[in-house]
Amino acid sequence: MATIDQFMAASAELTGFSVEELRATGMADAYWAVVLEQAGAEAVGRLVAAPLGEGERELARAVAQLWYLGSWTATADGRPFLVSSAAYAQGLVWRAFGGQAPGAVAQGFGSWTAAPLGVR
Amino acid sequence: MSELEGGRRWDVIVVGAGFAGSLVAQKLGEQGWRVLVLEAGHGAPDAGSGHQDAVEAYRSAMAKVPNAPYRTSAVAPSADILDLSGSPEGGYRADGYFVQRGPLPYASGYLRANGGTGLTWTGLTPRMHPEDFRAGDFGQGRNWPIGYDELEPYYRAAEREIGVAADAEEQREGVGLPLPDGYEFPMRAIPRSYLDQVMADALDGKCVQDPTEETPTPLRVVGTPHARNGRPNPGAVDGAMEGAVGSGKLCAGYASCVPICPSQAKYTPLRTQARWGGSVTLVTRAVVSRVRIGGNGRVTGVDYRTYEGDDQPTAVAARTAEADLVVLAAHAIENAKLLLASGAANSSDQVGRNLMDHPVLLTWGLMPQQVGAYRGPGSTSGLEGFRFGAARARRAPFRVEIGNWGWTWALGPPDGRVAELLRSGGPQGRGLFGPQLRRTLGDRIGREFAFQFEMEQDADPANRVTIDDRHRDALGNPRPVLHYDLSEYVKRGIAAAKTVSDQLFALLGAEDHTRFEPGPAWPGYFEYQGRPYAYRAAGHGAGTHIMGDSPATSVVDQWQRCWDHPNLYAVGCGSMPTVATSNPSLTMAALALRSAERMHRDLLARQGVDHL
Ligand SMILES: Cc1cc2nc3c(=O)[nH]c(=O)nc-3n(C[C@H](O)[C@H](O)[C@H](O)COP(=O)(O)OP(=O)(O)OC[C@H]3O[C@@H](n4cnc5c(N)ncnc54)[C@H](O)[C@@H]3O)c2cc1C
Ligand code: SF4
Repeated sequence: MATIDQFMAASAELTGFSVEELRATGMADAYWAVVLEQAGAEAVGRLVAAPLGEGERELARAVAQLWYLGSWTATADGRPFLVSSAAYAQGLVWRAFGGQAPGAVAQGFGSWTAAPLGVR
Repeated sequence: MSELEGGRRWDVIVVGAGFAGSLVAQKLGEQGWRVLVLEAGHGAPDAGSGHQDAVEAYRSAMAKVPNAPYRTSAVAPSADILDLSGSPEGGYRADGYFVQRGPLPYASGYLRANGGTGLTWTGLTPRMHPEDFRAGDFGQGRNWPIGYDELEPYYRAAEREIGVAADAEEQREGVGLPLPDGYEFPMRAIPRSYLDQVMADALDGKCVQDPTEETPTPLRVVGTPHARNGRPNPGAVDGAMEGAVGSGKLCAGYASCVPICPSQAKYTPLRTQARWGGSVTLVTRAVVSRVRIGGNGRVTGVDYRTYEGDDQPTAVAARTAEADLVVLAAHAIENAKLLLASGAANSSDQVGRNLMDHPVLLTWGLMPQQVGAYRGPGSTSGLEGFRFGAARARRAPFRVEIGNWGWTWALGPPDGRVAELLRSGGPQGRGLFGPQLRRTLGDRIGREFAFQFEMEQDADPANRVTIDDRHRDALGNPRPVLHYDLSEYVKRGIAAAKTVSDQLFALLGAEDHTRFEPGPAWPGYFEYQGRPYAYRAAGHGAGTHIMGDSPATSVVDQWQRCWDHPNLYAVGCGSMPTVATSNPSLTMAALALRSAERMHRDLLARQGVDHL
């Protein structure tokens, strides 16, 4: 059976964020639980063995999306769902360009006038 | 004076505790009138926890649409933008509260909850231009029975009441507004976004050729007035500050003004409600179904039902309230519905007709450099040069908003772009992962931007709200049946706007990603002169109880008083003869404040009659 450490290593490979960066979101335990529940231990075992392999491509996409957006993709028998408001706020998609999830963080009066981090 | 069951007597009943109704109740309460406000939707037991719940509901919602944070009910249904979808072969489907029968969909929503659509609005508050009151002179639409000058003092009052941040000099020069000498807005302008600055560097002083204009139009990026808290303006007169900054905090850049501002920096009608005096009584979960009309044409009160629960109404009770004066403030579409259901105010046959909105052409792309997308208010500046002048005779004029929130309005939040890269990005089209995924998203999302071209829609009697016995909601009230279309005039405006957009993209050196195709995401898809277009809608429903100078051709007079019933008012954007190109709520608020003075005089006169 796969461990959370293996899951985090696979997540790093899939997302391009380091294990430390992923841990810093505070979402690791919650996502590990979601993935186990939604995909089952066997499929997760295959994913962590070869994260970028062909065998679990759909699951690889779902895990990457989970980290980037905080949401679980639609499956054959389920609707997509957001894990929590914290998951939304921690979405890596915002971090990727030095931004913040709308409505999650007070960036300060006038913060929007400054050049963004990337071009400073 | 009349009595309500239970022994209370009311001078005024206001139907709807939204934007317009809250202002009217505030003003009449200030004069000491006993005002009963009947609100169809839910209200939070206390404003603070209600706000916190709504913020949390927003953050945890999968689809962060305008109504997402708020508690809605099947008993008083709201119109949600999720109700509409486009069909793959063109055309659209409407599955929600509205019954839609037009060739194109009325694509705006509204919210029925205490505070109304003014909870979820963006908070942009430009004034109308003097020319906008005379659209009829251009051969398009109607003239107003009043002009800019008559409304001007009320614009100032509204700016004070809801707290507007803007720069008077910039509004004079950039928009051509004749603000009175020495006038200062209650708050200093909200700073422009970095994107605005980049645009100004590239566009200011340049020109583009609108195909309907004889000469090129000069470009200038102009700041937009906001109903969100900026820094107080020490130059502002007569206690302007107290209303403006007294409640809520400084805009903190949460970037979620639609649908909710976590720091409460954006004005909502709940702020006005907090200033209501003791003579104003609010009853929530009270759905008005009919205005009661007496033999002499005067109205005597309203019928309404109270309820508990959401989708399964329980404890429904029928009630009546009586008053000397009734004010409908239930939103343009609901006002028309109530008038129709009551058989009221319709000797002109104009009730429900002339439904207008701001159809919005979106164009979107990537700037050459990072612009800090998804920061601050949704739009802080615009291009104002296409709103006025002779071209109005030929095509719908438009206001151009510069969109700070990337492609959200065009394609949704970045979620779709992430999913697409995961599905089909990468060299083999089998998905992009790892550092490449991170780099690609990082590069693109922060360069996203959009233009929002808000088109004036002309008042067409065929665009209308009707009711039909076969279509009722959970309480048995009629659902709005809508017939909506875009005229040739609007479509010409949209085509001109697209040409302007193409030139703007070229001047900016930006990558244009605009693409319209039939399908679920574009219910407003259409073709014009062989080209594909699609529109979204701004939520600016108007025109359904149009104001005019003759009972033969309009529903309300210049005071928003129904020609047919001397003590029935219908307030809101429904009264606007033209919707012009400015976001309409500031004008609506100014009209409401002006009408409240007239109501006060009517009530005094009535009191005189009663004492005879
Ligand atoms: C997403 C969005 C963004 C917007 N942004 C802007 C902007 O930036 N600038 C701008 O100027 N405008 C904007 N608007 C438009 C603005 O919200 C409306 O013009 C304004 O709210 C209309 O005010 P109203 O009082 O007529 O209606 P509402 O604010 O909708 O209030 C009507 C009230 O009446 C109640 N009601 C309805 N039916 C009944 C009934 N039968 N009995 C009792 N009560 C009833 C409702 O529950 C509601 O509380 C936006 C709208 C949307 C949807
Ligand atoms: S930018 Fe943020 S703080 Fe400012 S009004 Fe919008 S949501 Fe509120």
